[in-house]
Amino acid sequence: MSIEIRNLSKRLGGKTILDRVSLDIPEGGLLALLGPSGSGKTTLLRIIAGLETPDEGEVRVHGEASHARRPQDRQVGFVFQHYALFPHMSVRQNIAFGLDVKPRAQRPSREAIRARVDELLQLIQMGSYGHRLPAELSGGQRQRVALARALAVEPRVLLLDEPFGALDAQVRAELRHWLRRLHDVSKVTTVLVTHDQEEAMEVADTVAVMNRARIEQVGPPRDIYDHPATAFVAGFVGQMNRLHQVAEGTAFARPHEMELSLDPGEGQAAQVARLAPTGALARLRLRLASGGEVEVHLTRDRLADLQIAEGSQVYVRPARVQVFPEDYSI
Amino acid sequence: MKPRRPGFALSAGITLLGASLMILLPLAALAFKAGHAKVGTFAALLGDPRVRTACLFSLGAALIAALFNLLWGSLLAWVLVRYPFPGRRLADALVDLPFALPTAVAGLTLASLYGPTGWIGRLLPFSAVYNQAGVVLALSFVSLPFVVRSLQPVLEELPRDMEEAAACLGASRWATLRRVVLPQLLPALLSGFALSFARAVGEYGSVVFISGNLPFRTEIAPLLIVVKLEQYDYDGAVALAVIMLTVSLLVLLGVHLLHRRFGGASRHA
Repeated sequence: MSIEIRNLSKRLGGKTILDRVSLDIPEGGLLALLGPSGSGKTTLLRIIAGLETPDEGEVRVHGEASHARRPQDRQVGFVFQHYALFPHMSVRQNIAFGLDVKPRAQRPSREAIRARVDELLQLIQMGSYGHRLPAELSGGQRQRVALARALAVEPRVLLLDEPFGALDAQVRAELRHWLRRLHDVSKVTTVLVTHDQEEAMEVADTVAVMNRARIEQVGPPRDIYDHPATAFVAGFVGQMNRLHQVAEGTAFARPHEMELSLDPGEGQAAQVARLAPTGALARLRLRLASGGEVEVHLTRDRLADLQIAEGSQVYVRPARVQVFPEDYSI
Repeated sequence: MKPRRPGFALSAGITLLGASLMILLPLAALAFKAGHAKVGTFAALLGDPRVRTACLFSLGAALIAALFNLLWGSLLAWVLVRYPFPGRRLADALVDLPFALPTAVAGLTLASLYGPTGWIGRLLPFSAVYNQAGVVLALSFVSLPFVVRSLQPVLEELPRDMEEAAACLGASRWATLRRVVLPQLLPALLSGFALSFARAVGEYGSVVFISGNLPFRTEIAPLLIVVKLEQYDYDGAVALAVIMLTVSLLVLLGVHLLHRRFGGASRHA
């Protein structure tokens, strides 16, 4: 294991930020810490970096306990949501910073530093931007520079705190794919903090879903989506319809796992309140005769077969239900 | 097309009128008076060793006081912004006190505190009053708030994650301070220094009570101006004032150019 987190707890002003959190992050993997704001994911990341100290528990990186080490000595690359580039330094100077401040004995030669910066500028596809100042770059470019700066010192672990949170949706999607390709090349153990489930699912090998100071589930994105461990995970990762109470708790179903029919008797009566054909899927909002609303996703072909429109009377039933003990309302 | 600037004529008019009455007119009058003074008056003044010494001492003492303020004013601003401690608000409010206190009172207080029998003076191995150190002390006291107040807002706005980024990249606290924090504070430091210096050059009230006013030792230029006025030597007083103003203006201009150079570095380098 590259990073082992054992029973970390952190309280701040009477509020529990982290509650006995344990997590293993494999060497060379890309793990996403996914959760709503206030779930403790950023604090966990900052503790790994040494920017904050836990009240209890420990972090081991490559087997060594790191709690006594200062951030300077941990060899972590940290990328901040708001880039944190040094505004008075050019792109080159920013990227070279970590190499420039090394003690003389470990510092590479000027030529070696220049070569390394060139290489990183190529990697972030900003070869001709070396002499610009951060203020002259777009948000996406700034974040790429910040990433290059963190990679320059060849960190053992790369930590990204909502790195694309301040960017437009389109730039965000591009950078996401770029980050994944970069990781496939560099193979640096990476932890990505995000509240965007799409981002986590697309980029990460492993997703750890956090809620209220705890980790609710850890697993590959597909497992998290198909077999959520808790009602919270089910609702946070992808959409979920809350259906009805059963003996063990509450039954839920995904919008694309709902079946629609025009025959009475094939489920609950409902009326199409809203129909939005977007892309390959049509998204329907149904108003149940018994009260409440459910979301249903149909393929465009299925929609054409059914020949329904807003206001149509339909019958709906779940093809697959998942039952969770009631501990969180979606 | 000419952009519309609502209220520009009125507000600019009022500001210009105010600026003229309060700043430009007095300065113009001074220049006018000085124009009447014969070239000989200036030559005589500059030739007078007592005047030369006083002018140089005034500038030197103001410079030392401003440099001293730069150091401990920065430290004070840093502590006030970065560390929450009980009584911080009170300490913050106290910083402005030298502005509110009549400077004569400040001078008297400092003289009695640091005098040979004063609470602090008693403990010092050397005398801090009636000598040049006393003058620097008084000048620092009255001009300290400028550095603190110039620096404070900039420090508050300085994102903490920049220092964290530097730390994660392996920079020591000292390297972070020197290479990341200070360059960003430089413009504010220069303004604080310039304001502090300007205030100190013109200071009169507090200095006369602590300096002992010894010619060739602790006599400052503003005091000489008052002396000349008391002797009804108006031409001499005006000429001396113009000389001090010119030198101060040059120093401030120099600082301003530095400011542009370093303030500009973050935008154009």
